[in-house]
Amino acid sequence: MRDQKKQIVMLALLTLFLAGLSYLIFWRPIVIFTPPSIGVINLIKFSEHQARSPAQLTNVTWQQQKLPDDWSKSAKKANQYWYRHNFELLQQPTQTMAIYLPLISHNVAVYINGIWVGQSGSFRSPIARNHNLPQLFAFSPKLLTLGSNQIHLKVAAASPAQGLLDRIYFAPYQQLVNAYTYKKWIRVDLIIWLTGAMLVMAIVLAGIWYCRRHDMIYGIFSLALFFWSVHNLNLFIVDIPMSSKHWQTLNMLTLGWTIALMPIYGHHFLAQPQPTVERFLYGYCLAGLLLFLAHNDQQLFFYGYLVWYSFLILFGLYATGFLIRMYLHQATSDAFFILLACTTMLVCGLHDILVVNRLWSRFDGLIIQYSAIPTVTIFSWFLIRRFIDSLNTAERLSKSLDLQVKQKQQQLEVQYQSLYLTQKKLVLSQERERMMRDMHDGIGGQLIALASLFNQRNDDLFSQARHKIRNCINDLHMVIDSLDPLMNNLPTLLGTMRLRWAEQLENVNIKLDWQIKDLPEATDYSSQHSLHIMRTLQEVMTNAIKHSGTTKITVATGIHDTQHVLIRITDYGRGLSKNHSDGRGFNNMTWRISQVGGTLMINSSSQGTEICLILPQTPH
Amino acid sequence: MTKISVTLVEDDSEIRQYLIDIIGNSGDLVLLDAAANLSDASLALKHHRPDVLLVDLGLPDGSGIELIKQIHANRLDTLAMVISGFSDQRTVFEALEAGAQGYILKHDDSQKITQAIALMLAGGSPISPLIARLMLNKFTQPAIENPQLTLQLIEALTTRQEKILLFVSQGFSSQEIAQKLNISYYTVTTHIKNIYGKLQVNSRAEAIFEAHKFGLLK
Repeated sequence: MRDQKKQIVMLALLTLFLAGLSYLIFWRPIVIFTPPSIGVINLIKFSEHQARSPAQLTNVTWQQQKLPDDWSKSAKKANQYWYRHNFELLQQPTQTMAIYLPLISHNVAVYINGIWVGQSGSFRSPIARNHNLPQLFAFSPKLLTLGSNQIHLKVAAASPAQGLLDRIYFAPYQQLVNAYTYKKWIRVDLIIWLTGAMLVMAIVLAGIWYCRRHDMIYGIFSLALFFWSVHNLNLFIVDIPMSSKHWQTLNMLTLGWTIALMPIYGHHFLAQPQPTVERFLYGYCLAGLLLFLAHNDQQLFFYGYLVWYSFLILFGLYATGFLIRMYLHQATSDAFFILLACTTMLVCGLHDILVVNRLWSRFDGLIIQYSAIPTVTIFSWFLIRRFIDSLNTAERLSKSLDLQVKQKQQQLEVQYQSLYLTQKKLVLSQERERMMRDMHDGIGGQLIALASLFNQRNDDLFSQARHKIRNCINDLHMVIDSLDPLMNNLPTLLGTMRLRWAEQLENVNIKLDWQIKDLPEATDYSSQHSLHIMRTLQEVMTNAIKHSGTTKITVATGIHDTQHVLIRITDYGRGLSKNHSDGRGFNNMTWRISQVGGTLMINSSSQGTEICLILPQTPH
Repeated sequence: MTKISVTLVEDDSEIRQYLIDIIGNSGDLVLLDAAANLSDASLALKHHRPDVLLVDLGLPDGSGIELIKQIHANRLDTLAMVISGFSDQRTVFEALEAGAQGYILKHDDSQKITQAIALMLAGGSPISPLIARLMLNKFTQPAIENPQLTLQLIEALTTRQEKILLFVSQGFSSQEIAQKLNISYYTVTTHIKNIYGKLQVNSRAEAIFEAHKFGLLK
């Protein structure tokens, strides 16, 4: 709903823009080229004569002519006319003087009192084309005399229908030069720069298209830009490299081709190909070549300006309709901007078609070239943005691919690690199973059988023997357990040890205070490490039970530092005798713990003994 | 009071005799059969439907786990108890997964063995630190323990059950755990029993999944 409202507002704005632009172009509320305030010549005499200089103008009949003079309106049928203006000077001027001709078609030569002061180009065929170039001829004031003076203008056109002479300004050079420079800048210099930019853009886009042939849009727009640039040449090239008729044909064709390519560009840009319309447009472009067959200028102007250009209005209307439909459908800002550019071209194009068909004043000059500024800016920006977007996307994709590869690599590494560990576990587990089978069938089985046999007898000797046998079995169990990969987990190792001690402690009535906490869940001890730790713990516990005379043993754990954990076994008995503490048992334990990369600390007094195992979280 | 009927399966004759004596001396138990191999035991199980099956895992003609599976397959009310010698705790764990309710060690004295049977009959489930750790791994890292398994666990542990298993794996007794968590001893044993139940459900689902995967079931 909101979108619809926005669309309506935007289309209303567009209509307003269209109306404003039409008003500016057709009603001219603002004068862009203010004429010089002095020296205007509105009335002049003319004569049809092929004379090369005023000296040859003998026996000539002069007729009155109001300026501006559009030859097609004043029914001039020749290619060359002479204009003459007589005037009186009461004072000898001292400043450099000048004749300013804001608009003339096609070529002019200027004479002051019969002396040539300049001309705008060659009068030989093909005649120099100055229809878009203002002219300023400066001359020394010495050419003028007090009293009567004469200005002669020789004006020639490629065809009589194209001849044109706007008002003439005769004044000191300084008072005319600004008007001339300003007009020349707007009508010529700006267009030269614009055309240069368009050509560069066309080449860049052609390069992009060459590298990405499937991206037709770059090729289409490059071609359109190229045709438009060639069309613009007519606005500032004076000496043309071919006949006037061919040059004009080429001029018509390039405009037609440019306009015909625009809807195709729009289709591609908005991803809405219209094959039938496009085929028709390409057909139209080819058909345009028939203009070269025109016999004379009249034929060329009829088929070119009237027939061929009329289609351009149709294409413009089609493109506008298509874009409005697209805009209503998608409402993207892109479609709106294309619409804006398209409308500008349509209004300017309509103006120029009216001008060339003599249905509108010729003195405004052609203006479609200016619509290239918004059109080329918007379209080029879209294409550059599209190109940058695709570069960015490629870069993003490549980064994401890199990341994926890296992730996959990491996954593979993890999987490999896991596989390696699984295999290691499998080997260990097979080894354990083999040992267990051996135990079951061999010594272990025998021991268990022996123990169960002795269980039936209750006298002292049997009891002692049973006890010894059970210790053997327990020790075997410990060796087997140490092979279990789960024993690399210290809490589980301690838990398993506690289970072994439970019966021993119960038999001698010692209470066990179990304070296991703060241990890391993942330690990575090998089975060899585990066995060292298990045997040490067993030895410490056996010593405490056998020798300390305690009634309570505390087993506590904690974090020693960032890399080490601590297992502390405390009894509250009589403490160690001096020779006991450095005896073989302790040396053995110290050695075992050093094998894991840890240290064993003994602290004994008459209050009891504390033995600390400081173990690395990651063993060597 | 009706005595608890027992079927014993043990291939070592001396141990078998040792256990027969223990059962005989116990006031509450009555021995129905004493088999030395899987096939005899299987028949005995089917015909006599004992209250308790005491089963050794390493039998000459197969694994005792097969017998435990038969209990479930034949919908018997028999409680299975594993006799563990040097068969390690992983094998015991497999038996627990298959549906065993407890285990005893062959070299335990008679008192301990009768206590373990009594505990099982009273609804308790013995558990060791290593078995608790295996269970934790099974529930919390099934993919690491079994990389081929992509099946989601049907039954997951509650936070409390996980905590209890962690304490067991660290060597704490049920009483100590009850104190630490400020719950009753019976709640702890009930949780452990429930964990056994979940383990068995998952293990059956896993078996079905594997069978489907290898095309054994259609």
